Amino acid sequence: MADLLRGQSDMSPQTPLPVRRMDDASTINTATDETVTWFFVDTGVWASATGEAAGTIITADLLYDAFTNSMGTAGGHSQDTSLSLGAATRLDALIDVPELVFTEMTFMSPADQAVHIAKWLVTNGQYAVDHGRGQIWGMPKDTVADDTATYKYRTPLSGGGTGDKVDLIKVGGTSTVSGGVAGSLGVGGTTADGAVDAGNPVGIGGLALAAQRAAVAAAGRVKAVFNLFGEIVIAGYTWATNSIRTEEIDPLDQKYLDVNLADTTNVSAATHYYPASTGATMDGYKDQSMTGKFIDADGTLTLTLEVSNDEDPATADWNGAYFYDDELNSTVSSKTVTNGTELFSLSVNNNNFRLYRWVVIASGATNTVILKERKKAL
Amino acid sequence: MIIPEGQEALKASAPLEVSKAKDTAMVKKAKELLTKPMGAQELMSLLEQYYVFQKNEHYTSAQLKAIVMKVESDLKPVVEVEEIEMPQVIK
Repeated sequence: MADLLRGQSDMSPQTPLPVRRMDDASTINTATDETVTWFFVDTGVWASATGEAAGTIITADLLYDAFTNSMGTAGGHSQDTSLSLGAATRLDALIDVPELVFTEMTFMSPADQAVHIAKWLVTNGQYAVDHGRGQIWGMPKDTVADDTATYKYRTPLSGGGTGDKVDLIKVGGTSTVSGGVAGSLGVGGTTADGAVDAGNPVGIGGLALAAQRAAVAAAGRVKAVFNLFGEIVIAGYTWATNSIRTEEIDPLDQKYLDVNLADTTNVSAATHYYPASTGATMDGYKDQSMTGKFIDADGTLTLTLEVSNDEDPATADWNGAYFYDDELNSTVSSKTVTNGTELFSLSVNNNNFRLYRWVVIASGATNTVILKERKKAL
Repeated sequence: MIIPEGQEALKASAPLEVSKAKDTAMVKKAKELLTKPMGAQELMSLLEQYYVFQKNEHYTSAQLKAIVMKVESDLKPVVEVEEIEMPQVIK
């Protein structure tokens, strides 16, 4: 029976019966080097004890209560505690004070509490720890100043998952919001698109600059950059004009194709097609030009142009087209040489046909045929 | 191209081969045509016109260029380089 009632002297309106729950898990956290600010009784009320003389009864309330023992397996006590002070300058002797004493003191005025604990703290340097309530009492051996304390405390877990997740009900006294995506409703707000701005949108911070910032070292952390009007700056920004440069990949004015269609001699006495009888496409190109040379000492060579929009080059209906003779400054339908040499420079601007082919008709088989073509997109 | 039965497809073109003897002859002819200082392109054109209209022989640009390169190489003046006396290094 004595064992059953052990510790139940804590029961009071201020300190209810401590119950160890077996249906919920908890985790042990450590408060490391928490600042301990001391108080003493000054004309009946608690006041900062900093600077008070040695031998003054002082107390401090730490951030968390329910300090555990050194292993973190149960509540601590004077014989096995997780609490340690950062320095022994003022307090260096932990003494045992019955739990009942701490309970009794919860009914007393500050002045009476100090008088009551002084029955146990009799030598400068002694201190006692109320593990359940998270409070330290002491009688310093040196002038009072802030100390630091390290201790373990138990944090309840809920939610059923593994790990040390904790469901927070309030943060800083304000209820958290559980709606929205992953509880982010309070941040993102519920304001509809197009409605008047409201809620708590996340602000994007950065540096407001008038010129490009200096480069940082590789892998260094950088902040977002804005101009002085609060407009976010992205790569390609020209500071002098507050504009964004654009770059054209594979620009049209650099897209051209030079093709050696023919540079040969003694083409057979037949009709020849360049680059092929199935022609070539003008897709992606707008203009084309041709320079070349025909030499035939004993016959005729004739050059014409044929075009088609047929979807099948193999069965296309080809038809002739005029082209421009830049040497003669006139539109022609063919170039011909008979028993002589003919150099030519031709162009077909705005050739909007799908397919084209150059046609060379040779009357004999002793000749020279040179055809150099160029197509460009712009 | 669909070829009638019994016929063979014509070769699109049949450039002449330039034998070693022909090569030597063409280089010699090119030197004869070189009556005044001129560029390689001009000499190629003279050579081409000569063979086409005098011999009815057509040669490709690459063949003519090779002949003219040899002419240019043969006629390149030899420049003797005097031995340069290296300055003595005073230690």
